Amino acid sequence: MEDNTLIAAIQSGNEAAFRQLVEHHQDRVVNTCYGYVHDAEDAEDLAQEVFIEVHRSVHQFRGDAKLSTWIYRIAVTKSLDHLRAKKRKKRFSSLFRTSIDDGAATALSDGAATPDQQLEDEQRKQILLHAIQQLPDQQQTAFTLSKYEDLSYKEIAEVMDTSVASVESLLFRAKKNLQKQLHDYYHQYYKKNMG
Amino acid sequence: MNHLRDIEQEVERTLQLADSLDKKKADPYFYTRLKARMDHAVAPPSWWGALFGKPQVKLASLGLIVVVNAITIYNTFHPSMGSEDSRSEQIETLISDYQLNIETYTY
Repeated sequence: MEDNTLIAAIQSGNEAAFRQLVEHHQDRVVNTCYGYVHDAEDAEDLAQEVFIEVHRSVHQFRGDAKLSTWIYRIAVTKSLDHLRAKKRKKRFSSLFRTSIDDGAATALSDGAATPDQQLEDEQRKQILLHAIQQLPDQQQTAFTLSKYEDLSYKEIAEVMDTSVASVESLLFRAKKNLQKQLHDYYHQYYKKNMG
Repeated sequence: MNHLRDIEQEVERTLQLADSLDKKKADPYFYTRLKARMDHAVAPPSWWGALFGKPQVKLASLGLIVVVNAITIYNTFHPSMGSEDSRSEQIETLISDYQLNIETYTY
């Protein structure tokens, strides 16, 4: 079914059409949310919220953007809101955090004791994921859509409602920021553990 | 110098993992769960919820609380004219009830 026909059917209350839309987009939405939250349960929960929002606001969809772009936008907004709420909670529960938090620190210190390459890579991945979550919202969105969803710069620009040049710049800055964060983190780690 | 080179290598190794991040797919029962959640969300609210969900009732309740608090504060800091007398009477009653007016001596 074409996007417009599908939307019209959902707008007229056709449940089968809504089911079709969900089944067509669910993997992308779950994966996008996972790219932000890095937790399968949270990602599925967020994805459900995304589709509830889609269902609620389907009457406002004018067809200016592609349906998939519109759904991505909702997924990005929901994911960022979720991360903000999580950060607020964290601020209350812990006042003393470094730029990459204790979870990552534990991961690396454990990693030093295990020679297994796969495990070390898994721990590096955890450190990287923590660093990605520290990126500014726009950089994080560009990075997540690029690395998790393999979207082209043009597609990312459409989702973010910006130009391709801005996306390039955001991705460049995201990489620089990650490099700096990781450098600082490993520097601290070596200073602490190697004297 | 080795130390710096180690850090650079570690940063590079970590960044390379960005190209092989795990992808997630939706659970096979995703739609069933979503539908259940949506049905639950649109269930009619209880009469209590329906009554206090109305903005007018919310505002009226808030106004009532503010007025009751204002009256309580006013009465605390501006006691009425007769209250001084009634307080003296209460003290006298207490004194006689507990026989506090009888002189006692300590030995």
